[in-house]
Amino acid sequence: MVEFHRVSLEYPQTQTLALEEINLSIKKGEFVYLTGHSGAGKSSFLGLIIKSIVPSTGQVYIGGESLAKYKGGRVAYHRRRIGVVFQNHSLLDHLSVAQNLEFALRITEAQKKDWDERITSILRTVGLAHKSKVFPIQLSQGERQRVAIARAVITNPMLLLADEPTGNLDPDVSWEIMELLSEINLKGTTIILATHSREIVEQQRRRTLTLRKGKLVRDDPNGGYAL
Amino acid sequence: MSYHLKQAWLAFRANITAGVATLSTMTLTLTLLALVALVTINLETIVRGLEKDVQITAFLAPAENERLGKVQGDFVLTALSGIVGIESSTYISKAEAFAKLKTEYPALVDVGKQIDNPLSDRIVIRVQNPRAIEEVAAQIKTIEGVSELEYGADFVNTVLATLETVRNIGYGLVLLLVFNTLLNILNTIRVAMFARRDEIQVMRMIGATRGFIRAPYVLEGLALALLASLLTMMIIFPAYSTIASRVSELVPFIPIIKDPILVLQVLGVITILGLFLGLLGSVWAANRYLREAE
Repeated sequence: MVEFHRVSLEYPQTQTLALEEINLSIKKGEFVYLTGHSGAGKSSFLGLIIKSIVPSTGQVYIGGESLAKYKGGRVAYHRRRIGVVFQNHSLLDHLSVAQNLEFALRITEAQKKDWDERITSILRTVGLAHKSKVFPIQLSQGERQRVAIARAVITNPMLLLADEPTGNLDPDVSWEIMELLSEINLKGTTIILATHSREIVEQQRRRTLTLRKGKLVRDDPNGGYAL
Repeated sequence: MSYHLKQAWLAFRANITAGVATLSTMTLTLTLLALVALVTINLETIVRGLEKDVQITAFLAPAENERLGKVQGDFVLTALSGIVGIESSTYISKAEAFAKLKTEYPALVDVGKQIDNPLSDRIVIRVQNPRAIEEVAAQIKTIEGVSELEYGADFVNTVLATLETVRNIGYGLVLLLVFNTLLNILNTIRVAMFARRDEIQVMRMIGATRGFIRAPYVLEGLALALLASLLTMMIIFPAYSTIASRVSELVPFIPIIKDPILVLQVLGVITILGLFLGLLGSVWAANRYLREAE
């Protein structure tokens, strides 16, 4: 599903080596933790997958295809195969919950006749069916993150990238979010979750990739937290 | 499309001062452009009229009698037929010239009875290209029997040069304004996009194509251009009609264009140019913003 072949990334302006010689492969349906301190290269790693940044050397493959081939409009279509959840949820505050989801469906050119059904279904999955008309500002942090997850998966992506999705949440709510992500993974979506939360990595043991100063220092199939 | 139109309206409303600034500059530019275009068309008509009137009068050497004068005239006419650039040449005897003069100035009828005909036999020559009149005149001067030439070259050349300068200054001014309008559109669209940068960022991450992100802003640019064109029409059409009628009354010998269809055609071209500017400016701005955001 996701392959990194000798990938290095240097930011030319600061001459910072964000990632160095990364080689790895993530299979379809896996749930992988990506851990490391702040600045270890987690966000750069995710950015390479959605092609918001390009590697200085090496190749990133998604579904067997090199992202180097994707230019212009093809990058947009590539991103439609991937759902993204950020720490700061990135919901549009002037749109209601349902409208935020509709926004994603419109952009990905989903069949309009299916919109209502898909919105209702995903809101049921994330437990917010009763809040479809509410605006993000009226929701709790945890609820906003659920909407962000709903928006990321409503387009049925094959891969979900979550960058510190529980970063701003208290432990109980973080746990709910993790449960939700596990459910989504069970339905077949590959998930890469960047986190530096020891609790999360220890409570649900999964394959764990650890980055340190841009290097992949650990790829443990049994999981566990070790920076 | 209705989604993009709604988004364009929201973008305009959120950024109304920049929008109004662009609209006014654009209206001013298109109005000036329409004025320069209409003035130029009128100048062209006047110049064409002037050029049509340009002729060379070749005065012939005095002949002993009318018959010999006619022979000399035929000789010169034959020589003229060998010169390139002559459209027509007509022999006028001194008697015919005097008769014509008396028709045009009846007061001379009595004077004519007192004196001998002081005029000369002549040939009136029209040239194909009035701007080449000097060249043709130089060749006519060498023909035997031609004593003197008269043509208004200096006057015509001065008028043409002045009109051309006026027109070029107008075009220069319009060019500057067009550039200014383009920058205004560019800024308006950039500000509009910057105001919605979070939304654009989310759109990019979800997988919106550049065309989809750009659409509302291009529509905003086009709508501003269309509105500016309509305002230009509302200003120019009645204003020009009024001015043209007044000028025709005051100086009827100047051929002012009053055909409303022609004026509307000019305004149509201005509208197309305005829309092109709106499209170019907004696509340019949106592409630049998105390139920088990548």
